[in-house]
Amino acid sequence: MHLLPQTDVTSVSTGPTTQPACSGPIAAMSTLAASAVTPPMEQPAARIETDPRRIITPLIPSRIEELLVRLGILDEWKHILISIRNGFDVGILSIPSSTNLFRQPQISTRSPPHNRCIHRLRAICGPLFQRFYPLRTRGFNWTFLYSATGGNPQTKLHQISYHTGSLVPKGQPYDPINQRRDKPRLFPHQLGLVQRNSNTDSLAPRRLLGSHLQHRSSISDCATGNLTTGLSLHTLERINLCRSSPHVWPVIKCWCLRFGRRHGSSHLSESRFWPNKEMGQRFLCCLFTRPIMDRTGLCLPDSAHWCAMEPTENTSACILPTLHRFRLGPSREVSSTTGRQTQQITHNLIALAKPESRHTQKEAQSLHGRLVHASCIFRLIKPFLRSLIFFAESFHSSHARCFLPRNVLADLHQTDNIIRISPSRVPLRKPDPVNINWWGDASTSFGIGVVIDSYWAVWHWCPGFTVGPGREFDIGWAEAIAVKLGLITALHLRRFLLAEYRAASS
Amino acid sequence: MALHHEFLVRSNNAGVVAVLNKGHARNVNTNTALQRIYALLAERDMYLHAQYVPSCKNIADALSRGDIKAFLTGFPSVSTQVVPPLPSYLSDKLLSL
Repeated sequence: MHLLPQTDVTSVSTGPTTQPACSGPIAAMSTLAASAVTPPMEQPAARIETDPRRIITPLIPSRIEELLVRLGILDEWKHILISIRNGFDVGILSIPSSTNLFRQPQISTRSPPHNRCIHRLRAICGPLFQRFYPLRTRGFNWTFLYSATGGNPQTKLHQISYHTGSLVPKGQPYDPINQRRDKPRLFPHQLGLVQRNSNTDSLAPRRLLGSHLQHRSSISDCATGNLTTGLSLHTLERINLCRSSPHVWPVIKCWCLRFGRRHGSSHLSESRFWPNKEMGQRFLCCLFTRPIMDRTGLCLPDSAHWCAMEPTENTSACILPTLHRFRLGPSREVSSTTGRQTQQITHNLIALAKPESRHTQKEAQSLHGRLVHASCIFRLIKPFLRSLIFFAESFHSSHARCFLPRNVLADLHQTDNIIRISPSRVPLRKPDPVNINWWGDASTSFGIGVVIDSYWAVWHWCPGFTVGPGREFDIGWAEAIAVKLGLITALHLRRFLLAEYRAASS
Repeated sequence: MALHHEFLVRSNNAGVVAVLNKGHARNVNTNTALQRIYALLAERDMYLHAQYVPSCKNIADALSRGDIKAFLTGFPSVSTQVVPPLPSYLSDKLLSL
């Protein structure tokens, strides 16, 4: 065997090495294996391991950035945008070396939002601020604005208001159609819920759409407030116009901010509803709404912290469901369809009152109630309903059945006649009366005098016929006869036709 | 002919003003008179609106007291007398002058 000479170098050279020479021929050896599998010799591609402490969201950062720019809060939410792009940090990145304890008010380092309180009266802003201050609400976070500027919905509110009576019913709402009072613990049929972004195109016609009805409270930061305009608006669910009546008070539930019992009530009392647009020539009565807190337990209060308040006041600032009562005002005009339906229904009802049939007290009261309801459309039937209610009140027992008196039958016949000859298209809003210089007066001593334009007429009491207190005919009857004679005189002179001609020509 | 208009009538009696605008009266006789007025209005599709004026401003006050001369002196523009037909149910209560 050939051996290399030994050297003194201790290092190892990595130069070209020579293959060792084979010592002999390689014997050919093979083994048969039926189940032998060739193992894969390629190494799998190395996967990029993500940091388990970061979460990547599927949100599109460009759209979110566009939204934040549009809302004007890009600077405050910039870290969110960066996190959406790069991932959110979860857990701790490093082991804390020390522990810092902060008091509760010092945890939130972000400045509280600026709240605006808008009121229609400038003089109310000062008392509102004084009312907030005892609650230790940070006054510098509040701005009290005066919203009665021209062209805003507030201005339109006064233009379309028809109702001047009592705003809130004293008792429970009474439904004259079904002759019952709505139970306070049951939601009426017209209950609506607050909803946002109602799709007006998909709603059926003949209904007061939710987008047509808006609610504005005096506080801009309502639950569904529109902060861009400073007005707290939210739309309501659709309300069926067919069941709405000037006598029925639908209830709408909305979510409003509540500042405690007294303050919440004072603010919500300033809230208003108004229609967004005209719907079927019928407007919503623009009323002050007095809130009724929801005590039915159907919707539990959803408490929410109010950033501008001290932590001790969290319980006084919450969002509660509130029931608002409102009603639809009288429309300008009853359509011919509604008028014809009322005519037919009233005719069918009166047809049931026959001389040979007997009726109970409840039936008489029901018929009177329905005719009173119809008198909202056909005003001229009102004096013919007195005898019917007198008959209904004359019952001594609720189980008794009595024949209708002759005067009641005559009045019902006259009522049916008036409704039948009246036009089905009736204006409900009283037009401005036409002045034809009609003056009338009556005295117990002489008689009746009537003046119409440049014409006059006078009548003297017959000898032996006296009018006055304690007599069969009093001065009220004499004055009513003066009106009747004035009407006859005007018809005799054709004054009404002349006034109509003047009105049409002008 | 359907006029569908509301006409203004002035009176110095607050009771009849209220009754005429309300549509019904508590007194039976007054309510009956009101029924006749409203039936006549319904035939012509008219409405009335009553307005209260004090007695001193009601130019028909002198006529109702029978002082026709003072009326014609005070209001010379109202010079034409008319005698409309009297309803039958008032023929035993009133006389036309």
